Amino acid sequence: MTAHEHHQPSSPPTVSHVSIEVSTVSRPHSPPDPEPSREDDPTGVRALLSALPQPDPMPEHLVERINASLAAEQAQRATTMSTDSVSPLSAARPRHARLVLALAGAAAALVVGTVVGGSLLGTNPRTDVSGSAALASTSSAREGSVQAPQGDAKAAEPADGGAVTAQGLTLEDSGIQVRLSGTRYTRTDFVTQAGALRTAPAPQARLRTASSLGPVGTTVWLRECMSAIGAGGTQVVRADVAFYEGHRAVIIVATTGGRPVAYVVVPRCSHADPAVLRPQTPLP
Amino acid sequence: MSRLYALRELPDRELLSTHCAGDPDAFGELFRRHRDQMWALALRITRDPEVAADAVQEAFIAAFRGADSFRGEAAVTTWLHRIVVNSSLDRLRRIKPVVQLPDADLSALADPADHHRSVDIRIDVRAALDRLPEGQRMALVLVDMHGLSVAEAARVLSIAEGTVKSRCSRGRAAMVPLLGLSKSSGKPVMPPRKEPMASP
Repeated sequence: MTAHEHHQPSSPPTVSHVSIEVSTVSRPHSPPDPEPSREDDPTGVRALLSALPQPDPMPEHLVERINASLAAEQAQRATTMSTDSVSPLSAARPRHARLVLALAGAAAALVVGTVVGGSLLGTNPRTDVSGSAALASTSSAREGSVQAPQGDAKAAEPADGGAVTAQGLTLEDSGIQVRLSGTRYTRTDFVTQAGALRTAPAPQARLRTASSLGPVGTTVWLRECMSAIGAGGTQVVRADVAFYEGHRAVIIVATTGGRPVAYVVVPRCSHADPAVLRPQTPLP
Repeated sequence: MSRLYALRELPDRELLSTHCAGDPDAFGELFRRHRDQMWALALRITRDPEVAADAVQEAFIAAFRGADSFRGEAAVTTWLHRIVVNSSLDRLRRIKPVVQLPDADLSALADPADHHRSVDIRIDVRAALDRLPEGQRMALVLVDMHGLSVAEAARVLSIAEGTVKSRCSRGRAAMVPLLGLSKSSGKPVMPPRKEPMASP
């Protein structure tokens, strides 16, 4: 069942009054009645069942996992919505998009054009994208790598590594590339894999606002996370929403002064919780 | 951030319709609001954290995709409960296909002479629940364990309230001998489980 088939925005409910829905029908963490009457249940089984320990809240790893799935669903839906409003993309793209998202199983990210040399955190690059840019994917040498479609991209090819602009995009200098590869990084091969991320060719990007895809993959999130892990002031950043040792993670390769350093964080990385899975690893 | 805060103020129905209208964050708020409740339900049904995790994830994705199918005649929580129930049962059936037993009175299965014996045949609550037909087990899970009213459980299961009451009643009655409870007092009549005697 595809997002095309599912998503048909409905018109807002036509109600003449505002109704506040209060969930009075279920009390998840309390027994149905403190003392069920004997007439209700002479067997005593109800009291026995209601006295069983209440389950703990949903575990954090499951919350993240489902949030990532929902973000992927939202990305797919956003792609569908944008293709409905712009010139049709290639027929293969939605299928590839689903395949990429299914392979990654993580929050979708956006791919941004590149500028080499600007300071990531020193400037205030506006990477909000308005307009009709769409997340795109095509096959690539690396499994799951998200790249732009060929042909109808409106992006201007950077001749000297300057800013890439696309229709509706206002982008200042940015050394950011965020991709969704779903690569399974491992402890033993990390240096090689992160090195490949650092030198991966910059895709020609059609851009999409990242805010609709969740925090992971946005420059706001990336900026905060990098500050939290001590990588502020970095000039060039390559980030990959993927897996590290089986855990959903974001691999960040930050290059300053020509010296690349790789980090692995979990998607909840923030000022309050850097959530580092692997500390900084200098790359050759 | 103020927009996210505004979403938190919306009732469930408006959140869902906002989601259907294309808002990228509305469903996330719905998930945040109800995830613990749905997780608890999936756990109670499946009794296995791994299976419950898959079931509840599948349920929320199904809800995300099928939000347009919510007709509004019941509460959003009822709709979510229904999806989680179906997803959980589906998962269970994939693991362990079972033949759907009619809502028979299982108390006949227990040997009435057992409770007179000194040998402990106590079955814990979960094992006892496992021995009930699915209909009775689901009724007890929703009403007695999860705390839904009979009316709400009926809407979740898409059956009549009388059927829920009947299944609850029969299920509880079936559990009495399985748990070694006295029919009159509802208290255990079985002696405590005896530890095996150590060999001299």
